[in-house]
Amino acid sequence: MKACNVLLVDDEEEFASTLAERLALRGIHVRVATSGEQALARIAEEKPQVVVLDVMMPGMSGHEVLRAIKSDYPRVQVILVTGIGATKDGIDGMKLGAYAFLMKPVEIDALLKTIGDALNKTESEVD
Amino acid sequence: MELEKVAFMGRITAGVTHEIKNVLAIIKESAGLMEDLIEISKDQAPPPREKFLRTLTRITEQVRRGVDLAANLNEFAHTSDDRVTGVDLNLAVAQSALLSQRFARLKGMTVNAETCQKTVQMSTDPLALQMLLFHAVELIMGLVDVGSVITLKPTCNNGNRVLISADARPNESRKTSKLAESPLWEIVQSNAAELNMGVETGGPPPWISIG
Repeated sequence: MKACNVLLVDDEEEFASTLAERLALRGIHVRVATSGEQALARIAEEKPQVVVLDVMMPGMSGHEVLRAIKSDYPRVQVILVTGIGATKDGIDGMKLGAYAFLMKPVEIDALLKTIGDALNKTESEVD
Repeated sequence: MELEKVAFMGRITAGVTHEIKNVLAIIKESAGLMEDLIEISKDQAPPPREKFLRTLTRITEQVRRGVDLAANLNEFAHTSDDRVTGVDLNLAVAQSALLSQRFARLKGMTVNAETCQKTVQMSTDPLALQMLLFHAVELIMGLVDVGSVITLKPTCNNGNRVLISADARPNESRKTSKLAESPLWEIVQSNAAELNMGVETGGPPPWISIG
């Protein structure tokens, strides 16, 4: 996969940091945020190309963060991570502009492929 | 009442199983990380021992968390075994605090239980009591600010009552007056009436006494 910057947003810090470590071993530059507010601050500073975003979080929900991202940084692609049985959250997220949604627990290969596809979309939009 | 109980059990079950799913996701990623480290180092030096031990510790901690969640959900499921039985209020408030924890966390709040030194026993419907306590906690959560701590406690020297109260925080006086305006207030009163209990309120900070 091409080099890319990914922001991983999940209030379960242990989950986010472990998944980030696995993505880093595959050559992806990953930063972690554990709340919606922290995620928006990181996006402003680091301009990631792709955000992997948990839907159910304390404070700002994933959907609220998604709205803010699409309003201020429309080129940033957002991959939502929803709970099993929460397909509606994913579909609602797609309507708000998410690139894709995946169910938690996430298969690493599926996540990598979706990140790669999202990156291609970003680049094709720039071209 | 019965339909309300089913809906309540569904809400609690969905919340706890969501937490269990988070636990399993952490275990899955931790195991995956160990596989990655072995794969990367297969022709070279052994995988880094410190990182391996740290990951194993994380798995052990998450297994413990998962067991606690499953045990709590199991105990909760058994509250529907008897329509009326002897309930230890110390245990009931501890269970209620655990069941409310995830809902509180999503609002950036904490729910604690305090116990009496002595056993406080009452004869009641254990599931309906949990529903009443949960709704009372939820009512208070709707009135207080992010960061608030809500405490459930049997009142040791005043009969069989439970006090649910929030810690003191600024700017809450204006909200406490709205306690009786919340739609949950009617639900709390109705739940209490079903158990032949009364409800008193006050504050700020807001509190509800049930018994």
